[in-house]
Amino acid sequence: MGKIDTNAHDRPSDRTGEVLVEARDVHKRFCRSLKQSLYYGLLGMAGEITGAFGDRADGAAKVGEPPPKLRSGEFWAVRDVSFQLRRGQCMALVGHNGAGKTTLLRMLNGLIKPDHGHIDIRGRVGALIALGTGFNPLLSGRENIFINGTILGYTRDEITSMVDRIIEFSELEDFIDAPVQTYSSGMSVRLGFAIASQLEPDVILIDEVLAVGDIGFRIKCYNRIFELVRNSAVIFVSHSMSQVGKICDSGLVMNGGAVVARSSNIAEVIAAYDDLFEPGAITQYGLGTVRLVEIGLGAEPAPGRRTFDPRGPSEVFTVAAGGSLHGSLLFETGRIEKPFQLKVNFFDLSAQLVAQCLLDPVPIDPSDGRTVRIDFAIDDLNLNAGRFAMGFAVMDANDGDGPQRFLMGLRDAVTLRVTGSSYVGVAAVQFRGRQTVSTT
Amino acid sequence: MPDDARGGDVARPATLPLRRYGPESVLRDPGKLLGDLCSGVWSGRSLAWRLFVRDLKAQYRQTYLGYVWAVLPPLVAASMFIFLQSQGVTSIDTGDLPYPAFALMGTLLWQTFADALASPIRALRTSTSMLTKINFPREAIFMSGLLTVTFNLVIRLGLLAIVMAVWGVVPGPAVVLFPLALIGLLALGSAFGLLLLPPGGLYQDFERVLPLATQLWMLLTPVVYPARSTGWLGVLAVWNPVSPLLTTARQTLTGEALTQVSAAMMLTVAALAALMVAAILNRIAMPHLIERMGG
Repeated sequence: MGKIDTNAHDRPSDRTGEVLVEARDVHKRFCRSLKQSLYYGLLGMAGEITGAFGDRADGAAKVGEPPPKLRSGEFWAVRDVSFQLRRGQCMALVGHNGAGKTTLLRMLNGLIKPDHGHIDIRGRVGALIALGTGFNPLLSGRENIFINGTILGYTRDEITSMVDRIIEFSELEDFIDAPVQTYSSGMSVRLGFAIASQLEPDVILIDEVLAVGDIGFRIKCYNRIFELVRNSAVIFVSHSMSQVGKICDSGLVMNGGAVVARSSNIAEVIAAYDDLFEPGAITQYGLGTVRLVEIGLGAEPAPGRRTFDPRGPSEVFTVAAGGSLHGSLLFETGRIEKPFQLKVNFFDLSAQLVAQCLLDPVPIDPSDGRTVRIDFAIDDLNLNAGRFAMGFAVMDANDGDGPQRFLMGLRDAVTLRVTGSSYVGVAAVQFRGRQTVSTT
Repeated sequence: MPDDARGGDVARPATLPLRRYGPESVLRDPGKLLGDLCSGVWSGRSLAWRLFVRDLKAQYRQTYLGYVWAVLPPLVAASMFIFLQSQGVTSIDTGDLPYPAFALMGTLLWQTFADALASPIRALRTSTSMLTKINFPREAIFMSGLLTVTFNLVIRLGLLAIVMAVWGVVPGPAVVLFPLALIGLLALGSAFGLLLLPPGGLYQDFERVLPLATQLWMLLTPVVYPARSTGWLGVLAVWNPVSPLLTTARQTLTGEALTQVSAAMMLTVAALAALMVAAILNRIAMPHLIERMGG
């Protein structure tokens, strides 16, 4: 990254902390039906023309006045959003699809107008959105650098001085004179990011741009964003909480157009985001010769069991981070011929398997149907605070003889809520270490 | 981004420019609106040039006939009428001027107006993904469209010169007014095209009806026949704004007497004024259009 560092310009340090973005009471209404939406668009344009002469006919209300009413078929895409962002801050904007994040970003970028409230932006705005917009597939990568750079507002001389740096950053030296239509999608994104990230604006809007590309390039992009964040106010939209945790220092959680949570503690933001999601439906796999009928999880030994219904919603159990997890499971089995063992899986909300616990084989005589109860304990549960989905699998014990069959498998069987208040980081698994300090 | 002072090496101003986005009509502050419009045109000029070059390169890389496409539609239209005239189906009196020269000059000039008319809405459609994602001076896409129209016009002027040479048409001194008449045709077409854009950007009916309307309009304009002064065609020659401009443009080339020169001049001025109004209306309309264009 050394080469890129030379590109970072020194900014007066006393500028750090000035408010660059201020949104007050921002509202935006959208319409579900396209036909109606087009008609409202016509009204909106006419209203702006007549509104200049009439009194408030354009629907503009002063700050403090109530927002306009929703018309038939409309809903609030963004409702009552206010925030301030200073230079050097990086704010996450998270929420479901359709929560209003992109609409808010488009208003911040000046593409569409708020229906109520105001957005004040100081300085130049750069948007790392839709990388490669305006690429022409028939023209070469180099030609497209000039086109894309001009779209982003650079002059010809500026682009000429940057073009080598852009090509180097994109690592596309061998392909730069080939038509862009011969590029893979990953290569287009590389080129797009390389061009856009050369901007050094005061305000940066980033929308889901790091979802593609190989891991090496993603890391390079992170590093570049880190550099940009130092001198800018950044608004970062992402569905990846690991990205949010790495880059942002505060966040807004949006749902249904409104801000439902905000915090300058990014772990709280992520927890609030996690709470937006309903647990997934329970899925079963395996032979089905074993059935889970009752389950209990808790911090103390022998936790109370509840009836397990694979068709029902997943039960929620709560334990403290760093404490123990005790489980009590009651199974009904068909004919069992071999010893079996239980595996406990922990998934984070993006369905990433983050931890597993394989328990010892249960010695068992071949027999017909019976009930088996397994009590287990995991000491020092190293999971971070947050929500996890737990899965259970019962499989043949590994005796080195033949394949291990799954007698029972359950995904998203229960939800485990791990509580913890102290901020430790965003990784799903947290080790606790010991240290000795000696001073000389 | 309206400010074109960008790039790392530019000195940072003491106070950063503040931009405010709100629901108010931009017409409430006409001074700022005009300033924004001018800076949009100014800072959009290099982008317009680049988009024009991009479209041109791409357009001619993927066609076999290339630049021929700029002259093919007027050639086809004219040859149809030349054929009808030669077979005696029509008997259009064009005085001393051979009919083929008259018709070809008419369709070649008409095509300039038709191109300018269709250009804004086409520019909007081809730039949808850019418009909905990037904040750049919106005027640039229309300026780029106008550059394309002008480029095709230049190609047609070459053919026009050949036509005049073949049939021995010699222009008189009034030929100095020819560029003015061309500017009038360009401005009128662009103004109509831009005025159609706010509703046409919302409802696709407009762009569907446009080719039909343009064809009909051509038949009601003295393109392949001389202007009349009586009957319905006489009324249309007065009230159809393209008539005086097209007639004057052709007359400056053929050395005939200029019959509608004052109307053509007034129309040129009016068209330029209408272009200005249309540009302001589009500044107002653009956020509403973009909101409804989707990703």
